[in-house]
Amino acid sequence: MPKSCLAGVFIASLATISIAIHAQIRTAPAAQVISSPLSADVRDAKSLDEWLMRIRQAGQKRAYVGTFVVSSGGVMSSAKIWHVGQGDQQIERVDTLSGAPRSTFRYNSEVVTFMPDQKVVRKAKREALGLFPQFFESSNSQIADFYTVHPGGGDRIAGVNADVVTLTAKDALRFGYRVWTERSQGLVVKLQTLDLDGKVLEQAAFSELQLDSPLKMDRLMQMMGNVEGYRVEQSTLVKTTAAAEGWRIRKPVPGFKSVTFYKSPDQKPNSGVKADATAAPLQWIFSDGLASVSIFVEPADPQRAPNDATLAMGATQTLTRQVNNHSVTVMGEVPVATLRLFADGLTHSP
Amino acid sequence: MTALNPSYEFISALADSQLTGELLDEALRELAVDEKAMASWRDVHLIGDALRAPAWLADSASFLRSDCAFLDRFNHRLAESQLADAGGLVRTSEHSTPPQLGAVGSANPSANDSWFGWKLAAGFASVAAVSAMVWTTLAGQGAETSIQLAEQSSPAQILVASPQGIIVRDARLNELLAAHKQFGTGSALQASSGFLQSAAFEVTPASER
Repeated sequence: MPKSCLAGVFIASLATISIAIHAQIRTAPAAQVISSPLSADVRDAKSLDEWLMRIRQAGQKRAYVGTFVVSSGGVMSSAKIWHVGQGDQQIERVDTLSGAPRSTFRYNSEVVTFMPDQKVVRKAKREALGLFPQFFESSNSQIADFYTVHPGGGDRIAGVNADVVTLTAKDALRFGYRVWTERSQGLVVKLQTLDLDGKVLEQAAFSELQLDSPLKMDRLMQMMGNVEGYRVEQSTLVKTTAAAEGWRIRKPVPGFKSVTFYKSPDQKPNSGVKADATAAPLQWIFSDGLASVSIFVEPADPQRAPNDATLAMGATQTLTRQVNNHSVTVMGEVPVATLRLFADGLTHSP
Repeated sequence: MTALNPSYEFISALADSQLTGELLDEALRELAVDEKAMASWRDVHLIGDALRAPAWLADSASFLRSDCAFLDRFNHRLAESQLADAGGLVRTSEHSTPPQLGAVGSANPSANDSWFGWKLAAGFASVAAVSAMVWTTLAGQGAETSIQLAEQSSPAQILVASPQGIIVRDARLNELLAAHKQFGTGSALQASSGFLQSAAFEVTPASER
């Protein structure tokens, strides 16, 4: 069946489920709804903090297996996810079910991607932003400065009861979100990214989910380490700072804080770019706590983008521009005007 | 020579669709055997394109030169690659928000199983069509048009022409997208979806097309 048909079936099913669940909620005992922590008003910053913390902890401490569907720009893709969290250790396996076959393992900050069609394994060691609890703790109060939160009732996703919350941006520099969290512990089971008019740009949801699965971390680690028959490619990016590399943003973009900055190890300090154009570019990551922006810096290549050139893939926008003899690509889940602010403010002092 | 004007004025008449019947047949035969006639045919079209071009293009000689150079390189690479692998066209539109690649897929369900729609491209577009589309852009269909050209060689590459310029939508940009999705996606809300999408943003290997 063509995927657009599948999308139609999927959306129709969601609509049907939504109607059924709303009917169920109307007749449910009031105490059942009140027992949800989310039934408290999350409009104030403090309850927003608690809600966000609960979401993060739910993702980190649970063991679950599920099928995840992402609909972006009218295209759907899906993957199977195995996740185990024990204490501060997390391991996750994601197998794509559409497109090129890929098995990606993430163990804390280590990421290993198996490409069976090419018999190649890529290894990288970098912190994913979702694993930066300290960053989010400090940015929580800021999130309330830039987003308005509205509880949106209940729903049922992938067989679990969920609470719905809408986060609306207070300015035009970021998109909004509608978030479905599993009621008992707060795992995100569905997420919509909304444009400035409130239309859905992209959505991701579990189509099936087994919570508290008897998965063992050891078993996943064993799979992650089995690279027999594969050629191993190791990414060697190192963490640095924008100041050390001579980059800065003249005028900060409201709400966005610098999070991390990576470069290739063969790059000389303060050189801005490396000699080998095929190597990984500089990546400077910003986040406002919900949305993120990556600035990639590569050797100048006017043929790639002589002027501003923009692309959009679902919620992800891309802007490419030449800055101080470098080719700069700014991308993120933000309006293109926000990317332009980053590009306008970016400057390099060798 | 033929009954037609030896100075190739018939080329102009042919371009203006004024020739019919025997004259048309003879003009076409002449074009097929006479290289100078074919060169005149190209010149007539080039002049027409230049005259019809909007001010922004006419004023930007450097833009035109750079794109002629780009077209030459593009044609050269196409000539080197196998025609069977020639890619096709994906049209997007430029407005206040950038072009939505995914919209292409939704319009063509049968080719909708690839993130960037280059499976859509394979199979129906000819080299001539690709070149024609480039020239249509240069001739200025208007500031609202941007064009994606998918050339199937290895690694896969999509050329995106827009009023703002041409960028190469290739494996390199896909690498950046993957890096952003995998390491830059900024919140607990999106950790899993970003992680998942990073795989989907990869270039589909040639063997799978």
